[in-house]
This record gives sequence, C-alpha cells and structure tokens, in this order.
Amino acid sequence: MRNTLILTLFLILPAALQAETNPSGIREEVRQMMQSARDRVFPALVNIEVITVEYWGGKERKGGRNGSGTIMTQEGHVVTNFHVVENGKRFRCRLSDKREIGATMVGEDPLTDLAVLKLNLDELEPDEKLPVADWGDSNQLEVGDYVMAMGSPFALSRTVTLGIVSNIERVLGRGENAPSEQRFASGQRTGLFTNWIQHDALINPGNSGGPLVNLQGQVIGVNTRGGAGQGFATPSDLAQRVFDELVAKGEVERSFLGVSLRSIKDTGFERGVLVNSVIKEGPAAEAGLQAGDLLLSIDDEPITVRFVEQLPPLLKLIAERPVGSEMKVTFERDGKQSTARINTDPLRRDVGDEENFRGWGLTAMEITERIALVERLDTTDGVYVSGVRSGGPAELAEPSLSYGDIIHSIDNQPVKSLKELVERYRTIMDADEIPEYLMISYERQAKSHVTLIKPKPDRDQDPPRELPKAWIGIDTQPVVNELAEHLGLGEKTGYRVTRVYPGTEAAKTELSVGDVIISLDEEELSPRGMHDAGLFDRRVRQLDLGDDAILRIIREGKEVDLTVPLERTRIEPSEARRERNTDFEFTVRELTFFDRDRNRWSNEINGVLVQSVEPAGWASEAGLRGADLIQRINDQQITSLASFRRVMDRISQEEPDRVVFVVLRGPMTSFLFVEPDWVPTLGEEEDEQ
Amino acid sequence: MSKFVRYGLLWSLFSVSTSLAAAGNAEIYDALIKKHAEALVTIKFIPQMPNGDKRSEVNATGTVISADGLIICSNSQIGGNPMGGASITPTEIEILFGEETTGLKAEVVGRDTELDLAWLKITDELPKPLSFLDYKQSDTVGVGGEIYAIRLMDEYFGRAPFVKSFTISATLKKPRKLIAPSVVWIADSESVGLPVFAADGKVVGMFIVQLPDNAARQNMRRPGDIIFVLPAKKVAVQTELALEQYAARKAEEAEAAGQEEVAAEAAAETQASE
Repeated sequence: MRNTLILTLFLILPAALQAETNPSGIREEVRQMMQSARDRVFPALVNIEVITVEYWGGKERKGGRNGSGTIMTQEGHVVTNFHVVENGKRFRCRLSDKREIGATMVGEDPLTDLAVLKLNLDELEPDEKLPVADWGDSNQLEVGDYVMAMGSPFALSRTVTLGIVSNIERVLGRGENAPSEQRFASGQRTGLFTNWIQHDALINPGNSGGPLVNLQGQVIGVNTRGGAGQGFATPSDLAQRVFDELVAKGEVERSFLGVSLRSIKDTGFERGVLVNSVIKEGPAAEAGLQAGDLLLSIDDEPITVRFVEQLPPLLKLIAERPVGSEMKVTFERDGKQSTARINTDPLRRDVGDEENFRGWGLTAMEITERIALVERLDTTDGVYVSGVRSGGPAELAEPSLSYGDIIHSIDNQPVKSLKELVERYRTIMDADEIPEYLMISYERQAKSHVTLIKPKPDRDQDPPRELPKAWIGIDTQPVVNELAEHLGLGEKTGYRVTRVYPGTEAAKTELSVGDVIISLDEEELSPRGMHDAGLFDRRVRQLDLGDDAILRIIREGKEVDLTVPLERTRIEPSEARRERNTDFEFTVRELTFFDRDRNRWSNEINGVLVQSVEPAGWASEAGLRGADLIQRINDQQITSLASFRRVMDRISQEEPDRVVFVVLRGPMTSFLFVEPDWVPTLGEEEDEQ
Repeated sequence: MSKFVRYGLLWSLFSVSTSLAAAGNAEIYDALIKKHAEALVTIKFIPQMPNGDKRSEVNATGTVISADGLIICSNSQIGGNPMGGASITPTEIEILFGEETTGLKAEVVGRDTELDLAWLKITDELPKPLSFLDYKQSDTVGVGGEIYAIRLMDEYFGRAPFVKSFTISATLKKPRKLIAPSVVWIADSESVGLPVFAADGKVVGMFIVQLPDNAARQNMRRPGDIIFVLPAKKVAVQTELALEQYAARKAEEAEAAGQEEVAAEAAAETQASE
C-alpha cells in the first residue's frame, strides 16, 4: 500500500511541475539560445595537435599532445593553454571544417597557463575570412548561469557539452595557509593570479585550451583544469589581457616585489595582509620590508586579505604595475606604522630553457633566479644538470655527474649560461676530431668537484649470434602413455611429426605429418611425459652439422627408416640484425625463417620487418606498425637491410615531398603515406653516425 | 689404559688428523690460486635493452682460454636470456685484469644459450701473451668427490681470488651430461660462468645455469636446482664450434662489405646518369 503511494507520487510530481511552469517552453528558449551561442563560437574552435620534445632521464623524448583552442583574431591568433603547447616544436590545428593547417608559437604565459598560436594563413585560400570568436566579460557571470564547454575531449574534436557555473572565485592550491598556487612538473608555478570559474559542463583531457561560452555566444573563460565532474576555466577578465599582451609583445611583462604574502586568517589582525617571507636582496628587502610585517595599503589604497580568495586579485594588482615603477606601501611592525617605497623588478620565469647534450649523455637547463633561490646557489652562473643518460659518458665518468649538479667549466674555460654551454658543445662536437676527454668542473651541495668524460656518439649494436647447431625442419609433439597405445605404438613412445617446414631438407624427404619417430641414429627416443617435449630437438642439436640422421618412424603400423640431412638451426627473430633510421625514427630487422613460416609468406616475398616505431616521428605519422613487412619505399623494392639502408639514405638526401611505404600486414597489403617537412625536431640527429 | 688416557690419545690423534687435513686443504687452495687465478678476468659492459635503451655499466667474471685473448663466460651473466627470446646485448665491452677499472676492448664471438656459454675476443693489442686455462686438459671426478671453484671478490674487496669447495652430489644424463654440485643457489649463483677444478688442479668443467627448455616450461613448475657444472670436454667442443663459426662469419662480412661497396658505386652511377 505504501509502495504504490510513493510510486504515484513520483509519477504525479513531474506532471504537477509541468502544469505550473511550462518547462517545454523554457526548454525551447534555452535550446535556441544555445544554438545561437554554439554557432557564434563553434566555427572558431580548433583542435590542436602538438609534437613535443621533452627531456627525461638525460635523453630527449618526442611525444604528442592534443588540446583545443579558439581563433580570436582575423590574423589567425588562437588562444589555448600553456600546458597544451609546452615544449612543443610543431603545431597543427584542425579547423571546424576539418581542414588541418600548421601554426606557430606566438607567446606563452605559464603563470596563467595560457598561450597564443598563430595559424599559417598561407595554407588557406587567398582572401579567405577566418571564423573568429568574441571575448565576453567574465565579471558578469553568476553562479547558476548556463555555460557550454567546447573542445576535443579524448581527441574527439568539435565536441560541445553543457553545464552551469558552480563557483566564480575558486582558488586552487594547498589551502588557507599556503600560497594559492599550483606547480607544473617542471617546478614552474602557475595559478597565482587566477580565481577560477568552476563549472560542471563535462570536460576531459583534450578540452584544455578550449573556450567556456555563455548563452550570448561569448568566450568568458578558457577551460584549463578539470576532473571528477568539475571543470575550472581561466576567466576572460584575466585571459583576454594576457592574450592581448602575448599577441602584441610575445610575452607578459609583470612586476616582482620579492615577497610572499598570506591572508590574515587566524593571525589576530583585523586588516591588512601578512608578509610571510622576503627574498634576500629583492625589491621589498631593499626597501626595508621584513617577514612578519603587516601591509596595510598600497599607494594609499587600503588592502586586506582575510580569505584566500582575495589573494589572487591582490597579486594580480601588484604584478600588473609597470616594471620599475615606484610603489608606496604602509605597513605595521611591532605595533608601529611605517612607509616604504619599493621599485619593482621584472618578474622572471621560474623555469628556463633546457637542452640535450647527446654526445655527453646529459640534459641541462638554465639557472633562473628561482632555481638559484630554491637550490641556495650564490649566483645564476653555470648550468643545472637536469638528467644523466644511463650508460652515457656523464654517467660513466669517475666520479659521475648527476641530477642537480651545477656545471661551471669545460676544460678550464668557465661556462656561465646555457647558451654558452650550447656554443661550447657545438664547437667541440662539430670539430673534425672530437677530443678523447673533456674535463668538467661542477658544484654539488656547495662542494667543488672535477671529473673527466669521454664524449662519444651513441651507437646501437646488433645482438650476438647463436652457435649454429644441427636441425631437422620439422615440429613434433611427444606421444606418451595411452596416446601411444591408441596410435598403435604398443609399448613404445616417440615423437609425432606435426609440421614439415616447406623449403627445408626435411621437406625433400618422405617425412610427413603423422609419422611417429621412435629412434634417432639407432638410439631410442622415449619421452616419459610432456616435460620431454623438447627432447627430440635437443638430441638432434647434439649431432654434427653436415651429417645425415637416421630416423626410424612408424607409419600406418609399419616401421620405416628414413635418412634426413641435418641443416643449420635457423636464426631466431631475437638474433636478427637491425637497422635504425633516425630521420623517420623507426627500427627494422631482417626477415627470418620463422617470420616467413608464421605468416605463410613464400620465398618470393621479401622485405624488412618493422621492429619498433618511436612515437611522434614520421614513421609513426605514416602509420607504420611493428611486424609490418616493408616491401617497397617510393617505388624502390626492398629486399634486405642493405637495400633498405640505400633507399633511405637516398630519400634523406633528396627530401621528397611525400614518402610511401608499401607494407604487408599479415595477409593484406597497405599503402602508408607521409609528407615529412624535413625540419629536424630533435637537435642531435647528426650524432648518430 | 685409564679412560682419560684413552680419550686423551684419541683426542690427540683426532687433532693430528684434522691438522693434516687442514694442511691438505691449504695446499690445494694455494695451488689452485697460484695456477689459475690469473686467468680470471672481469668483463665490464653496458647493457643495451631490446628496444635500444642503454643501462648503467655492469660487471661479470670470465676466464681467458687462449693466449691471444679468447674469453669464455656464462651467457646469462652478459645479458643472455636462458629462457630464449629477447635478450640484452652487451656493448662497449672491456676486459679488466686485477683491480683495473679500464682495460682492453673486446667483442662477442658467439653464444650458446642452451648451454649458457658465451665467448668474447679481445680486439685491442695485447701487451703480452695472456695466462689462460685450457679446457682440453681436463679431469673427471665422481659422485662424492670434491671440486673447487675460484672466484673473484667485488672491486671493493680488491677483486681478490678465493676458493670454494663443493661435493659432487650427482651426475646427470638428462637433459645432457651435467655434474650437480652441492650448491646453495643464491650464494653460489655468483659462481656461474667460472671454472671448477679437481684437487690436482685440472679443470673439471664450468658452472652454468640450466632451465627447462621452452617446450617443457609450460608443463613444469620452475625447478629448485638451476646451477650445474658442464663437463670440460663439452666446453672444449663448443669452443671449437664457436671459433669456426666466428671465422666463417668474419669472412661473410668481409664479402658482404665488398659487395655493398660495389652496389653503392653502381647506385651512385645510376643516380649521376639520371
């Protein structure tokens, strides 16, 4: 009785609502607004594909990343996130009409996680007009407003989702008593100036950099973070200013005070903002500020940060002052009020450039002021070792270099910056003769060390070859116990032929599938169980190559003696010789007997087998996969590693617009095309030879 | 005779006999080290993974078996995979004598995964002919007999040679002729690749790893015993085969290099004429 009542309630409720508020009418209006909003931004949405070069483990690694962006100017400027384009070397944008065109980097701003790319307009039709979106005012947003997120979640480009604004001043960080900032993996800080727009339009990896759109069809945010059903967008109030400055100057200039601030929550103070720490010799320190001071006003405007949400706007206010301008602050210390005048410095990046020194087996980066502060270095002179490659010269040195070491000189010549180190490296490694040793002096934990490295090119080697042994070109299974009896062997056990490999000496004899071998060279074969499955092959391997073997078989109940010439064991795939191609970044190997047999490829079929394809290279872009048999490249037949090497060397010299690989993938042929742009992404490809 | 005197006599006899035995051991150990320790060398190399990545430098121990620099060692100790399939390639191989940390360059001659053997050849010029162990001058010892292995300690301990003795627990016919010594597998896995000797100083065989072959593995749990001694005669036979194959391969490579030069020149000519 009770249950039916509840059910009826559920059924009734919606009807009741319907009678009172006409949701179908609301739905239609909203639908029309959403469509119009979609139509105003959707055409300007792009999917961004980035090829990155990152440094990890002392090596360069190529990778790929996918994100979203919006075209905001007729000149083709696209706003997106910094973390989409970070370390990017090549950018391709897919427009809403599905055409793909290239783009170049205009500027990055890690502190707000924003960046600007510019589309290569010469890849479009002349006089073609680009669809462009408009910025809106994020300050007009209210909690509960409808918003749409557009982008490429999971690389599914041109996707729209709908939600509402959940919060308009969200601060992400580690809580009230810690700075309201996040960090990238590189250590670069971000989010300091951002009060995020939190919303629940579904976003996923790939949406980064895409627009958050209001019902008026304006971009009021850039989707930057998300997870667990919540999205966080950088408000357009901040994003538009950063965008405009990146387009105009390629970077955002900000002021730096050299203080760390904290809200007055729990401090007992009623107003102001607390100075948590002051950087030694920074602008605030020079002006006389100390940790513990309570700032009360800036240029006679009182300031108070009671809650962490109030911090980003204050930090933004300070950062937006012209660099070098004078700032008047009043502060309280030990109950007394004073004034200080601070001349701001330029705010520099936390993390600087990084380079790979392949011939030395290490990666190194610039020492920024931030790094010097954190690592407690006296100056920014020198270069910071960010990775040491296993088995490389820097690791093999005695003593070896490691992460965190500061290189100060090469062969007694000081190196003050990354740029200087790159120049020294190129001079040394491009010379006709590379020196056998280089002396490096470096600093580790304030101690000065010296070591020798032996620079050398990084070469791949073929795996060692197995000793060839005797082999009969058949495969067998043990026949034991009851199976033996059923097959008419009586008391004997033996090995039943399961396959005779075509093209072998065994195939030329009368040996056939179904024959049961009971003795080899007059020695009985008596497998006792499945653990003896390999015994026949083992016995054969102990015979002398070049001899004949006498097999006694049982066929249809009769014993027959067969003479089979022994031949060499065939090369296993793991022993096959390899060849690595650095232009296209993939490795191939010789075709072996067992490869042919597994794929049922006759002896007429030739080529080289793809062993591995590195990510984000041209071979990967062409769609080459491991186990593909490359038969032709640009109409040249490939029959061996040598012919592969010759054809690829020629392609490397001629740099054709298009390369086509004709491969055999199992039983099917496939034509794989790629249009390489012949601009090397990794710096050190010449070192291979 | 009083009880005490009898025990006293027995005790003194016992102590004499043990000290005699101790003297015997001392002579055997001493002689083995004097005769054979010089042939033991340290093999230093950089492992290259199947995907081309390199790892940090690794050491293994091997034995010099010819005056011109042929060295034998365990295949599994220099990257071989006793289960077959993808293995690690040793690169930048250097042979170190005594406590040195740099030595002479060497290359791989060949390997026999089934028998866990691998051969290296020094390619740098030798300062003088090397002390070597001849596996052809061998001896056999029966079940219950004592065999002795010489090993080198780690570089921290100066790579000092030391001797360990084992009793022969059994001789096997399956999967092949093997000697099963009384090993404690974790501690003695360091001996893999090293020669074992009889009390008279003649070589009896080489410590190797033996795992069930691919075909058997699906039907067996992994056995507890995997360290055995391969009889010296077999080591010598395989060494001959390895040298033959090495010479044949070198000849093949020389021919192929010559042919390639011709082909490359022909290709350059066709390119020029196009």
